[in-house]
Amino acid sequence: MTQLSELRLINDSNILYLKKINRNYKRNEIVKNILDDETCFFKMNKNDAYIILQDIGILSEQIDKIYQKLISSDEFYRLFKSKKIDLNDKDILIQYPIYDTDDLFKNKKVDKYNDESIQNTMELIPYKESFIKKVLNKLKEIFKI
Amino acid sequence: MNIISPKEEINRMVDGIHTILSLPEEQYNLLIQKMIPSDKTIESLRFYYLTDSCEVPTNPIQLGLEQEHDENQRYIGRSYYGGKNFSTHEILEYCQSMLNNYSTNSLEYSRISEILHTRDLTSFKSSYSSEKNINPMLLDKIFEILSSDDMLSRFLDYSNNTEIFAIDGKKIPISNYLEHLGKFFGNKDKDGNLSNSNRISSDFFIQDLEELKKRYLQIFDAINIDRYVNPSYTFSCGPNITDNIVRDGEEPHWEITPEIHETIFADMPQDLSLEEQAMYIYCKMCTIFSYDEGYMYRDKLRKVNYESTFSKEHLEGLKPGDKITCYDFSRIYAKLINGLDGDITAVMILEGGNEGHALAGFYTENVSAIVEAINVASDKDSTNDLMKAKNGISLKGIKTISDRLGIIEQAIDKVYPQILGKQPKSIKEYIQELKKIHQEQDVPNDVFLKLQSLLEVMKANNISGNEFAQTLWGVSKTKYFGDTKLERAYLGELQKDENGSEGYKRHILLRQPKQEKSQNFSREVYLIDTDTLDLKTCYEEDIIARLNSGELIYESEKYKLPGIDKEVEE
Repeated sequence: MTQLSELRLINDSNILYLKKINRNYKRNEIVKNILDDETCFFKMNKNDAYIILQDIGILSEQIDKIYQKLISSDEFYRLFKSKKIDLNDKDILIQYPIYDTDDLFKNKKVDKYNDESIQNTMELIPYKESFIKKVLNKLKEIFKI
Repeated sequence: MNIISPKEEINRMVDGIHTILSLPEEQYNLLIQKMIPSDKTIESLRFYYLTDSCEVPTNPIQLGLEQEHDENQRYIGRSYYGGKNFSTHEILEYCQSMLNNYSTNSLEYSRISEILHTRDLTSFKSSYSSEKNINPMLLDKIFEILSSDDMLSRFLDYSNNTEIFAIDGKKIPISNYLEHLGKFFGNKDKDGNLSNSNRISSDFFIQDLEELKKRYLQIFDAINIDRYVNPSYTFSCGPNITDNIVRDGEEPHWEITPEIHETIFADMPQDLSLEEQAMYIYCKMCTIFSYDEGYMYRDKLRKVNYESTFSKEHLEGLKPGDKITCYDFSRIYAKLINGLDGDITAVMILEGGNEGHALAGFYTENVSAIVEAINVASDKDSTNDLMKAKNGISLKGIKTISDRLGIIEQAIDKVYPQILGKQPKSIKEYIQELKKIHQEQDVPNDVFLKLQSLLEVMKANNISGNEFAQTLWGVSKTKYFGDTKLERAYLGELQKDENGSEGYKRHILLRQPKQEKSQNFSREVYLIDTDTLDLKTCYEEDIIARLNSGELIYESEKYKLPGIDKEVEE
């Protein structure tokens, strides 16, 4: 279950509970409408996000951690890739840069492959048999093992 | 047609062509006849050597044009295989290049020219016109457009040049041209290139084909030709390979109730475009219907609209305000759209081999889209458009297949506020609204009712089993249960089936640590079945008794409630 799904669940439960005890649940309904937008936390400032998380019932000591997860770059890229975030949407307040992977290495120079260049760059250390191995092999020879 | 050469001299292509050029007169004439496309078939040329592998080596050796059946229809070919296949285009292109090797009055030159003629532009137009029963003048006009920059630029400004493109003095819609252009050259691939495997590119040899394609690409980029090149546009296939498409007229006739008709169309403006009408109907349907949550329990309830089965009686009984399923919504929507005047078509899409979900799709000349008012993937979006529309939230159930000009979004922006009587709210507006409402103070903390509410919501979201246990644990770490820190344990309840084999049903045992003890010093506890999410209250002594009898066991030593153990006696 995603973080946002859990928040929705808790908020829905709050609404149902408040209905059962005949108390006003208008705030929770507005929070429900906000949470319906999967990108909502990218469209509000930190203070407003904290108000909503407090309304849902998140403990004070956990709010910052949960908030950071909700607006993380991973979450942003996930929403962007699934076309739920439009970079031109003026409502998006929190954005991360989007890189075109073709551009990332376009200036990198790649040397043409040749044996000489490979040899120059690689350090080839010839294998040397250890002294103990030499002794053991000699013993094997002597005793014809 | 198989052309058999004795052995490799130069390469397969050249050897094959040389064999053709040196065929006896009778065989050559037969080959030319076969090369001319017929209504039903377009022959390909295959070049083989006698030394190639074959499946029927016992049949007699034939050189040149291989005859497949004798006068008694007995198969006399050798079924050669292996070796590179060449498209007719490649072969003829090579033949064209060989013309310079021969004098113009030679037999070879004459034969090559004749072969090229069997698959040139005239042959293509004749073949296509005959197969599709198209006016040949239309085809002539199409290739005139593709061959001339002047004609192309006029075509791109079609509305101001309709006289030029009239056929037999009659003005015809641009779609008539686009349909055939799309069939000739098809869609762009992901790299922006046209395919070389379509008929015009592979079975014919048309001079300057690349120039024709370049002009086609200009048309492709300037005018929406998607309808004629993308099978998904007209729902020739569904989004998934196992989807079943139901078109207008494929199910028995039924009538939408006058009440639904009136509710939807009464206030619809008269000047809406087809796309705007489609979006208006969608938005309006979302406001007047609700989701039938009984569908969540369809394995226990047998209702006709909980499956894809068509029921005239059920559909003709639906009224505004009713609770409906995805099948109902898709059928009503498709029927309403297909009843509109104009070039608009809707289908119902039954998803998956078991037809467990339904969507609707519609297309016009300009757009193709899928509408899904009721979504099953609640991990993507926990609310459907039926709920969103009632709360003025932006709708998420419309997915475009083709919409080059953003017509759908503009249509929604135009009609949705008209239906709501207001603009859909932004997050900012909701937050402003939130700040105006005071928080409820002194809200009692009834743990049992809160637990009950949480379980109802989890049931509605189909959360059970281990996911339920993990979610419950996550929720208990918040302030949902107030300052109460619920103690928990996992119990297994012994079950025996009809065959006598044993299993365990998992339960979660919860207890409030600071609850006052009852008169008999046995505290109230909550027992939750993790599968059905049934909640029972009982006392510690009840659990102890069941632990003593072996009916219940603790799942692990790690998660036990102190004071509740089969060894403990009061």
